[in-house]
Amino acid sequence: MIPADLSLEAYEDHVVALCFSAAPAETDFARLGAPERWKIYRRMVRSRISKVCVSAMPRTMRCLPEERRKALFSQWMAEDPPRTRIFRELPVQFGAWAKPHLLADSRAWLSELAEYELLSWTVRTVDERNAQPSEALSFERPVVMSPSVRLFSAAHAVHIKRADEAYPQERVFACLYRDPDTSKAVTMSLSPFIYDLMRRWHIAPAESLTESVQRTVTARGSGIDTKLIDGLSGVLADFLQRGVLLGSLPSSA
Amino acid sequence: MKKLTGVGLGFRAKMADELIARSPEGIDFVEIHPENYVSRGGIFRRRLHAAMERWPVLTHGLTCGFGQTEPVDGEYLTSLTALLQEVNTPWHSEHLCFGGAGDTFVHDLLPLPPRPETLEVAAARFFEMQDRIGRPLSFENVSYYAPMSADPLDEARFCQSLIERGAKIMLDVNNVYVNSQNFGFDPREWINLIDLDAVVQMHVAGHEVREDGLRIDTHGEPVPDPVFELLEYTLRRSGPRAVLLERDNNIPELDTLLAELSRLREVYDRAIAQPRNLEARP
Ligand SMILES: [Fe+2]
Repeated sequence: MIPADLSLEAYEDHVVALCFSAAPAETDFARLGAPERWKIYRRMVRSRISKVCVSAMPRTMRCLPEERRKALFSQWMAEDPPRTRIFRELPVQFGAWAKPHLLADSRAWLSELAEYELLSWTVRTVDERNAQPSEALSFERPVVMSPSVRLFSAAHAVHIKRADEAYPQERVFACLYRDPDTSKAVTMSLSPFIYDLMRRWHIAPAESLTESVQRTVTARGSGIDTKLIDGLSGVLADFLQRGVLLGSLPSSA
Repeated sequence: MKKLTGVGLGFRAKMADELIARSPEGIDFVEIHPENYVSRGGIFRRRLHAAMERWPVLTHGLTCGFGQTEPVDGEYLTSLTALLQEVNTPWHSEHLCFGGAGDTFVHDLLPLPPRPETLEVAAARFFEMQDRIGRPLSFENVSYYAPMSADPLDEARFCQSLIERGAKIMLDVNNVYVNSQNFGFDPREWINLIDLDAVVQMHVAGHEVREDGLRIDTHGEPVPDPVFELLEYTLRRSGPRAVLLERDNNIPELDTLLAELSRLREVYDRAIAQPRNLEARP
């Protein structure tokens, strides 16, 4: 039974601590009566939360021995327990916390793989109603991207699945977006120039397309030539067709 | 608007596409968890809109337990209210439980000690939330595994006290049954303590029976006979209501689920065909 002198708030704090502390003492469980039953709650809570993280980043999790995975989840819940009510956001919170731990792993690709899997997870559920209004693409106006677009760069080809999980060293520039028809996350490899250009769109969303191209070219120390223009037109047409780009911001906006 | 009654199905990602494609007869409404749709796009929003074209959509929240002691999350309630408006639910329900403390969420429905202090917290939160969402709200009784009171029927008295404050109840018949088996009381006695005029909706579901006999409310098994019997007992006393078949885990083939829904329909029709039993009311 719940001790009568425990206020509602203190009772709730106590239960949350029973769920998330690394190793609650037997006396902590016994304080509310029926310790075995409270241990059931603890197990259910922790397993539900761990499971959604595993389902969001299955390849990363497969690379961690079970004991290491358990220890990471346990440390996460004790140090930085779930602060979102939205269940699907839990893996992202876990990923942010776990990043330094994964970076410390001897496999240099591990934290990149985690980042990549979490981006794919997020892209699938971005709310398209956050899209800005758009009209036909114009070089004189800022571009409007799909709200689902995320940029990804890595030093290993973690975006290509491998059975042996030995991801080769390879400079990767890519964007992820949600296919408007299938709603699946798609990864598109980019040239370093297009990657930088898209970064520019993220950093300076009010710049016209012409300006963003010029600034990107200048920053890269290259020049604008017909090869670049032809290549760019092809990429822009592809982006529009895939739904990566929605068009340009209307002049009234 | 005519009050929504009949039988409905929980609208879950695993079977949503097939359910939409087949749009079978015999579904009077579906129910969603708003947390799965708030600020979410892509296929989830498309499915939701397809469901709205076919059935009335009810909303059943998972994270605004009425027993939480910190202030309500106004930002979330704003997005929730927009979603409830979008699906035009006739009412919304949340649980009589707590789901965390401060800014920490356990993602579970944890039980509340049935005390005067808890009643004050729950009543204040219930009516504040109802005001904010601007449509009828109801609370669901939860299943629980650790004893909250020397007399397990105190839970029913606690629910009834909240009803007497003016709250409506979303009565989960499976939860009453699970608790009755785990804590040893007659589930009909529990029902008899509730003013059934305050029931807006009911849930039925299946649960797991562990080797040690403890029943866990998994929503992952077919509805067992005693839960159907308790539903029939309750419906005979309440009259027609909206009754939802909840299946969240271990979701079977759609045909299996629809067969279970037909069984629910039989129980429902039989219960409401009889004159309403007005005995044993609080
Ligand atoms: Fe329920």
